[in-house]
Amino acid sequence: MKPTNIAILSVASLAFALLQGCASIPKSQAMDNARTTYTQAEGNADVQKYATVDLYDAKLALQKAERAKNLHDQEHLAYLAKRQAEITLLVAKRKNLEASLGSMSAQRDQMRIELRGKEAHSARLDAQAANSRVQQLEAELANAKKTDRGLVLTLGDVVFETGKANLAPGAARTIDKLVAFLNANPSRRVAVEGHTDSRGSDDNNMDLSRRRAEAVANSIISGGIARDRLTIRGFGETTPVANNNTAVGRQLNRRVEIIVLAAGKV
Amino acid sequence: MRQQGNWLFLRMFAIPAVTAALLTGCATTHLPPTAQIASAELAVRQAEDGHARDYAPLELRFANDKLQSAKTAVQSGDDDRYPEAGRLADEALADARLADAKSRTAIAEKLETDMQKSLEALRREATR
Repeated sequence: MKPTNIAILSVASLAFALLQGCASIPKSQAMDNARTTYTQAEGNADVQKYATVDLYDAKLALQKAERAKNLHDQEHLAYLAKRQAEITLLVAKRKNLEASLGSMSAQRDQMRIELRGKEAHSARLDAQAANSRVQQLEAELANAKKTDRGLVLTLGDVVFETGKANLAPGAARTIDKLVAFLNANPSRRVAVEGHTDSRGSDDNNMDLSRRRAEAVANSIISGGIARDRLTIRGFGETTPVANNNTAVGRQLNRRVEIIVLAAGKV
Repeated sequence: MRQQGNWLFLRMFAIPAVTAALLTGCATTHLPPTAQIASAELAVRQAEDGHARDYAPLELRFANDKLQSAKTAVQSGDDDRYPEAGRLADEALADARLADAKSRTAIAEKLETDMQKSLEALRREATR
């Protein structure tokens, strides 16, 4: 072969080899991955709704990778394209979540408002229930008298030993009901007033009536009622309700009155 | 003699010209990818600020590793390594952006779960 021909051939083959390198390259795994992820993003409804710009960037990146001049470049560009497609999917998902968060938060506000209204309603129901509990207490305590001052419960002298201020166990039931009522009606106050018959000295009777009233008051307080809701007084023999000349009359006069003061009375 | 002249022409001008043209197409003198590295660095910092350490630790690690390799390649001063440094910086940028996107989505998911719970609690309260 002539040198000229060799030279021409070698230049041509060199040029061909270099051009070949630019024109077509083998398919790479990276490129397939990028295309798969892009297709996934493109077909995603959230992407079409929330991330069209990111999807467009992913498309440009994919096209750039497809035009790569060599395998090395293509793998790099395909990697970038795949990342962009992944980002697109995440952005769409996030924006979708943010949209539902917005509507959920509106829904929450609405529910809170409704609930507040409902609470006000149930407060009214509570008040009605409390009212019916007052009537129930009145009904249950047979010896309760309604007066101008309020509901009067009378603990007869049977609940005390003669001449002493210790409360006998029989009073507990009445006290328990009273405590329950006062707990349910925190604005109501109670007057606890002790009385005696006319036997014995005035001073003794005054003192005894006071101590008995205090014993009753203490059992109310130990039920959980604040002391400042109670007014404790001893009247001695000054306020009889019956004739002191008979045994029955005297028994009626020995008493502690618990007055559940009408609302607003102190 | 005439053929000899042709050969001489080829050897003196044509071959070097073609080779030079082809070579310049592929191998210019490279500049360090300073801007690409700066972008990647910023994206990594943003991802870290967005709790990527908690929600996308692997992607953040990829980004940091590639960023570090890119910086090392530039620091070597060998300009043959600059193109690779540029590619690494670009990939670090993509990884960091993915880490950030992943974190933000995870946080939104968490918020949504919390919101669901609070709505359920309200519904329970409403039906009491």
